[in-house]
Amino acid sequence: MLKPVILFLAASILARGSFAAPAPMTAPVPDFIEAHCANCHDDLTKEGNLDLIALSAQPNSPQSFETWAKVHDRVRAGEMPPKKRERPDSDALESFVGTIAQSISTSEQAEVATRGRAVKRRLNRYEYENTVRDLLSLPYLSIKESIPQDPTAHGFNKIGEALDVSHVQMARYLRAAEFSLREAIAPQVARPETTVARYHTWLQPGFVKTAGPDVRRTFPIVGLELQSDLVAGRDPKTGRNTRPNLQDASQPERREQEAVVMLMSTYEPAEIQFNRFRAPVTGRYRLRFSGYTVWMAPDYKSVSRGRRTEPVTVYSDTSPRLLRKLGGFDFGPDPTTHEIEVWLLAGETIRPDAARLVRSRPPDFKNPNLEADGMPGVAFQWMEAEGPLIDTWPRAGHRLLFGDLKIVDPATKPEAGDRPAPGVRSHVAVHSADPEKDAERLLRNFMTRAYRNPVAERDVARFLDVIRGALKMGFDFTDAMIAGYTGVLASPGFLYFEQEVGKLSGLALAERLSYFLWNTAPDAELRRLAENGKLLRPDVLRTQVERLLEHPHSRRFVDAFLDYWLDLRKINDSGPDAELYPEYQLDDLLTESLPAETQLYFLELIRKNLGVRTLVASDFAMLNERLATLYALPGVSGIQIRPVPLDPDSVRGGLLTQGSILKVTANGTTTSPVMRGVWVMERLLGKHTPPPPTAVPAVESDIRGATTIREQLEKHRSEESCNVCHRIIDPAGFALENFDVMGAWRGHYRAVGEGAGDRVKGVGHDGYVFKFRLGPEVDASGELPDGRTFKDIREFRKLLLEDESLLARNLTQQLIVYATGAPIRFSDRPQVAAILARSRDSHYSVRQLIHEIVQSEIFLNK
Amino acid sequence: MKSSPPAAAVSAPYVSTGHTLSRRRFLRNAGIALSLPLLDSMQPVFGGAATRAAAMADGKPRRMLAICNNLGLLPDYFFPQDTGHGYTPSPYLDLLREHRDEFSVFSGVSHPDVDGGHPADNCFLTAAPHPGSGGFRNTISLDQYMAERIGHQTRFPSLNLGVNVQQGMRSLSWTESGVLIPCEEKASDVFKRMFIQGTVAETEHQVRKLELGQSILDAVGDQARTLQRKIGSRDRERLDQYFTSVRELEQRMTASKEWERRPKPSVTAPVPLDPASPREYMEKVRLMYDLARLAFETDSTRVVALLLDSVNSPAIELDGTSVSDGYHNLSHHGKSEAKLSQLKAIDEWHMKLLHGLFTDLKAVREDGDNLLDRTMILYGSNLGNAHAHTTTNLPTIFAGGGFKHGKHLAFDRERNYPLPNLFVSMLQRMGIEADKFASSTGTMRGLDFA
Repeated sequence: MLKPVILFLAASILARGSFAAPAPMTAPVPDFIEAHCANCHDDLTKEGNLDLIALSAQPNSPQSFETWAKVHDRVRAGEMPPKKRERPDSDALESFVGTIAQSISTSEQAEVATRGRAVKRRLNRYEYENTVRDLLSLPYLSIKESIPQDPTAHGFNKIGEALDVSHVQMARYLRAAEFSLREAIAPQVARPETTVARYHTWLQPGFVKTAGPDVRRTFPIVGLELQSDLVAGRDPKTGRNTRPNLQDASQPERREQEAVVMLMSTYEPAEIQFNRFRAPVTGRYRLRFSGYTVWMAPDYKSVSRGRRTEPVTVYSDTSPRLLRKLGGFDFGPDPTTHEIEVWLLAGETIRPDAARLVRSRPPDFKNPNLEADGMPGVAFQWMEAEGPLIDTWPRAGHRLLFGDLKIVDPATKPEAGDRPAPGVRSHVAVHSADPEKDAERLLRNFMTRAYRNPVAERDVARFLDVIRGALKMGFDFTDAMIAGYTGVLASPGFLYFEQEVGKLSGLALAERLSYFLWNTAPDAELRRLAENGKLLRPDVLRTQVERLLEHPHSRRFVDAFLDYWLDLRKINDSGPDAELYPEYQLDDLLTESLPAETQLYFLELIRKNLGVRTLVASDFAMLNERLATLYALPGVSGIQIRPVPLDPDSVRGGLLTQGSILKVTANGTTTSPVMRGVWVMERLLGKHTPPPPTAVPAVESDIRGATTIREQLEKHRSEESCNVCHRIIDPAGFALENFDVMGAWRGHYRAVGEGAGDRVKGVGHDGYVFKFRLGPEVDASGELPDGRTFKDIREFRKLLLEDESLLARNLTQQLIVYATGAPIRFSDRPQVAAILARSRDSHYSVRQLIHEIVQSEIFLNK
Repeated sequence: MKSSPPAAAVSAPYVSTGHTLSRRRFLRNAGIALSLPLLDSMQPVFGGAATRAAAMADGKPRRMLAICNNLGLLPDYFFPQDTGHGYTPSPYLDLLREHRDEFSVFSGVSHPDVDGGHPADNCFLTAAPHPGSGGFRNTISLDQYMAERIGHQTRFPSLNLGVNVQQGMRSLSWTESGVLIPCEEKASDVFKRMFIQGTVAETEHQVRKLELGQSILDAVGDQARTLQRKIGSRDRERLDQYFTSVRELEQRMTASKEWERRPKPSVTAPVPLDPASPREYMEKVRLMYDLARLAFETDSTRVVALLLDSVNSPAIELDGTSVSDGYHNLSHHGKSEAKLSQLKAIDEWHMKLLHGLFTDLKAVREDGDNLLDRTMILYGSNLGNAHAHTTTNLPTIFAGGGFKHGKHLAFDRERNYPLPNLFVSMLQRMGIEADKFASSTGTMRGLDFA
């Protein structure tokens, strides 16, 4: 009864030419569907939500392409028709699969030939920020956050179809552009003097902390002598703590031995600052810090030599607590000096932080570092600031905008923290004797640098009109030029990629390559090679890829790529539950170290030319002491993250067991094998799972400790309709059950219920006493859909490594999507296969894959 | 190594669609307290039918007033014991009993991961996690998010008010890049900006900036048009979208320009007298409530944020009670009876003033509604219990604005329900298309449109 319908519809799709170009998909397809598929996948049963009849009726949409590709893949892999059904004979199967493949490919290729694989797209906010930074020579500039978050498609923020623009976006681009331009202009005519000055902690009001209990106070010492009379004490009359005057007590002849001891990490209400220092102008500075570690007696009455090193992080600080991380180092028991070179903004002061120490929250807290005979502390002696370090004045960005035109200081400057009145500027005014001529010359020069393609005369005229109009309205030369430049930086010529259908031109190739590996516009060398055509030569292209990867800017690629591929941008989306995970509370050093570990690890893969198996297993890990403590690996001290060899039977090694990955795949309270399983399948193996049916409620973890998530899932998995997918996605998640929400190893779950197991003793990083109990034991074993079993993460990793080409194919595809801004199509498959074939001998090293991608037709064409 | 755009560094934002209040000025003119002005029909003056429709889902203009008292309220006297429609009013809520059907009370709500005690007030309208931690950067506040989308419909996109605010350190209002927008402390200043004409020079300066912005938009829009001609259809759609956004922004600038030239509404009320001392805390609060009501009534703005910086307030003057200690010190009561009774008296004043605000708004008619029906009022705190500095179980009242009220919506006090969900509901009630704000997981469960 079904037969005529199917034959008619199937034939009509195929005959109608359907996929863009006529692609005759004749007899074998309808016959095969009728014989082997229609029983379940017709318009009545729609098994698995697949209705091949409806699909046949509307073959032209992109969704249909995707579905046909799935049909192709499932049948080819032998997953369909199901095992219990009769096997089609191999000729029929070959012919069915082959016809579909050819049909999709032909149609797609026709489409690519007329439109290109990639859709025109704008810069995303990462790219915009980098591009403006490099153009205006403002490496510290932060405008990313002032532009709305970019929508994603196919996992990345680089896809043309998704990168929409709204009026909000437009307003923000304009504002960010104008802000950046004004940042680039010299703040004053005179070149600021470079000075060196030392800021002793006793002379900083910001180092006198008197509030609350002892741990929150600061303790002045000279060498290792506690200055008891200068410690804040309680005034019997007022009941308040006294405020000692360290400044008057300081003595020049012993000043170098004077120090201030912190027993807690910098946090409200004990926020220490070198507040006599304020960066006079925005610029580069060298900061040197001197200090050492100490041991404080339990009665807070004496200090002795420190017993270990302590990590110290450094932030810049402007009201109200706008903190930027500047760097970090370790202090040891002997005084040492550490230098960091940083960009500071005008008005910023410096806030150091003994990051390992407790961050106490009221009212009842304990010091987790307290031992029977005392507690660790950090003694800060002084900071030396050298700067601003200036190469030329005005700086490069200013000269790009205004050349050598005469400058004069602004009549008045905006008051700090207040809104500027009309006409009040934070930078110099530029004078032109011949505004008309200067405007054109400067604008033309600016546009040549800003635009990645040759500048059309028409466009120069366009923005010159803006400048002329501004002058006519009564704006001065400086503001008129800024108006023109603002237009340039918000114009389609700057914001959008320019690629014509077919083979990319030299400039378009340079653009794509540069945004791939540096996430910014091409530099002078790339532009030169693009303009003279040499970049199109494979050997030159190869040399350029090497150059870009070797340059420090490649870190921008790693960070931006991992932010999306591995979701590292979500590292702070959820905080660890305060009751279940007190040891992770308010621990900035930990949350800063987690993504850095993964970024440096990926950088190491590229740098050392390591094979793709390293994504899953490695004989080293990138660690500092905080990460090693989280992973319970002894013998790693200090704040710097570096390669550390691992024992052969270590559970660590590879991406899967890194805290960042384990954190972004969990919420702050519990872990779900389903969420983690889906994530591993998608991100590491490139296998997409359909979303769960909406009617089925999600399994919610039970933190009272009565049942494990596994027990709850077993019930779920006993339903065949659920198990179809769960048998594929859950195993990877089960293998990761031994890792908590932050990536630490666990043998037992944690629970808060009364009926749960033993209490665990300890004090959190925030000073709260542990209240959680041990819950049921973790079972991390599982079975893959093909029957192979594993008992824990170590065995699971081995199974994953049995076919490293799967890992390589996925990484290749992720990189292609990122690099070209377009999804992988069915018709891209042969090229992906060719890239893989050429990389096999290198064990699919990440570096080799990047080279092969760049040399492929996919990359070289729009 | 980053610099974010601080408001102060941008000296002439030609392209901003916002018309911000000018710098705070000291004005000590004599005057008397505000009285109800007689303004019958200040209809929204700008906006094509489409923009109007978008901004008013059910055709009614909606407003928002968000108030944060950063020391909160004593939880024992605030939270009702029982739940739902038939809840028994707590001692504090009993002071609002006349308006029982016009507000809801929430328990067991908080902003996920907004910890850190006092600094959390800066996140009251942003819900940005972990204030006070290294590398923290605030995100856009609810009022600014609204202003960006519907602000062009009124003379002022939003007002950001404060009482006793520690300037430069605290505000409810933050830009998208986490820059603090300072609170206006002087009711007289705000009043003048709203109702007293500016000088011709001021107006012309503002208009010129907007015109320059429009000329930039003309240039980039025109370039998009030219580029469109030489590319394929799918790519053309992308540039089309760009062009449309340019045109929409231009329309907003035109609106802003019209506001500059349009005479300000006149009110019969005289310029308010600003209390001289921070001890006159309650009088300041009352003036700000009056000002917000006036702003809504004249449709000068639809979005107001008000920070009551109790942390920064001294021992305050209170009718009928003598207050012995600074507000912050009192909040660390250590269960001292003397301190608790003073705090309770302060809290009760807060409730009385809120009662007055509700009453006043109800007395103003707009079309067939009263103004409370069209004004969402969020009253709450970043602290659930100021004594212990906890940032969970925030005391929260939500009134008016076109919702079904009269309930105690009780959520899990151990595992709080995300308060940002309320923000999503508020945005939607404003007619703004939004399904997420900060860490929201949906709209507020149990809270329905009226």
